[in-house]
Amino acid sequence: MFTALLKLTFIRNFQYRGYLIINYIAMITRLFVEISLWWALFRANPEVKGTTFHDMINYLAITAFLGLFSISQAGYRLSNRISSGAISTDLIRPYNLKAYLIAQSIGENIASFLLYTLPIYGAVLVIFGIKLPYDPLRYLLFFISVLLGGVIYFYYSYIMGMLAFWLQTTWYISWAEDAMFTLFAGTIVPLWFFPEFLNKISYLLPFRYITYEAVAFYLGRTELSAMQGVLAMQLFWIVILVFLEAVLWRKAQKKIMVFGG
Amino acid sequence: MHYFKLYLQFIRIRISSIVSYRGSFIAGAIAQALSYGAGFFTTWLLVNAFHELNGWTAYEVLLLYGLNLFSYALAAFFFFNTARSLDELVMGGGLDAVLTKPVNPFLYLICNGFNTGYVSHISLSTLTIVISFTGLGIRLTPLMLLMLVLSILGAALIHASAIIMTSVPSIWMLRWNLSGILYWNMRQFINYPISLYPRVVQFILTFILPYAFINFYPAQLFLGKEDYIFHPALQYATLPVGCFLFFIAYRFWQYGINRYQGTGT
Repeated sequence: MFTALLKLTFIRNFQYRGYLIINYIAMITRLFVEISLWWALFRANPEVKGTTFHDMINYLAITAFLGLFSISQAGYRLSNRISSGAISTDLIRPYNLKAYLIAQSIGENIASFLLYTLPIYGAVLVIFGIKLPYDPLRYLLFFISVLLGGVIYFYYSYIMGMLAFWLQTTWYISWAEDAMFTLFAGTIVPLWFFPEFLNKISYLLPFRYITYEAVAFYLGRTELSAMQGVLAMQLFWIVILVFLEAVLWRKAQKKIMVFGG
Repeated sequence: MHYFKLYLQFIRIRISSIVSYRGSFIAGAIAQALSYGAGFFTTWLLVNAFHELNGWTAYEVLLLYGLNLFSYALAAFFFFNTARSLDELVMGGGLDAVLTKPVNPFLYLICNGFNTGYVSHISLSTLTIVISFTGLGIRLTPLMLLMLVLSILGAALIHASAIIMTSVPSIWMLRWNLSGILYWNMRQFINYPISLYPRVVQFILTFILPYAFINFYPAQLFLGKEDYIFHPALQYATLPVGCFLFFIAYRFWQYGINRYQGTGT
């Protein structure tokens, strides 16, 4: 059933071709602004904090590629189902809601990866040149880190979605999240450009372990020996988040039953 | 005068609805300020790390952000809700109800649609502008202060015109959302000094989608910069450009309404 759902979502997303051109224009202009910014920044000094323009292009592209693993509408969908009350029928149906939402996310991500991210950022890498690590071990650890990062993001967003059980409105959560990601996840500006105090805070939060650490490792900014620590932290966050999710889910079920009377 | 009274009445109703959702209103205002603030702060840090961005210092770039957000908030306060829900108004028949009211439909929709969610934008952008001027050690003369107010007003009219003009076509082309591309997307260019883009982009942002008048040109007046890419006089042009565009936008709106009344029976 999981694969059938995955396939269905994929096909449905592939069908929305009317939006294709609009989405392309939107993505390309955003990328154009971003590349122009970095181009202008590096024009005066070709290397800042050990980074060149070429490194930054690769950073942008690889971070975008990792959206395949680290983007999920699951939390958002869950919170909508909770607010609308659809959750009550979800719970009596003979399927696992979480698995359903995961399958949907994967299907969507593969579709948008093939339709948008791969062609657009692939072209960028062809134009500006791709950076490839030499060590095969680096690829292996990179992929492990990417997968763990994906799990962290999924559980994180799922927990945020669950907050709808207790909050009257949830639209502002995504705004606050946006701030957290900008400052602590390195999705827009790599964390090595930030001052020490922000980096110190980021080590206490899960956000930098979603994509930033993996990309920094891919680009050779993290030594192989230091990667153990990163992977350990990723596992640590997964344990915490899985535990938190289980606790909250149990509480939420009780709450539903109370209201369901 | 009649409209003013009507407007006050609408404000009263809206405020009472905020009071009943006080918790989420405050949480929302804080979250939005955090989100914009984090973006501004990040850009400031980045430009600082590189010392300058195309000849603009970090505090100077901050002024671009401040002017853009302040004028956007002013425009969106009145026009965002109406523009966003225009296609729903048409489909749901709500527009018919508005057209039968004995008031100007344009003013009615503005009065009714104003969005109180912009408190945090205004406070954050005011703070940003103050930080920028303080950081640069610039003290505005009364004349410059007046120019600042007029420029922000003009910039707000540019935002408003763009919001109106991109939403009017949805009256007859339902589900066609032009504002996504022509407004939200193209506006990203003015987050940074537009002199860093290729010439053709500078031309578009000045003469075709004139978003550069929102912040890039007026900012130079207050910063004493000379990053004139076309003509120094453009620094003063924000208010005239805003008035002109708003006039066109209003005529376009009227055209859209007439067309709607012409076909819909």
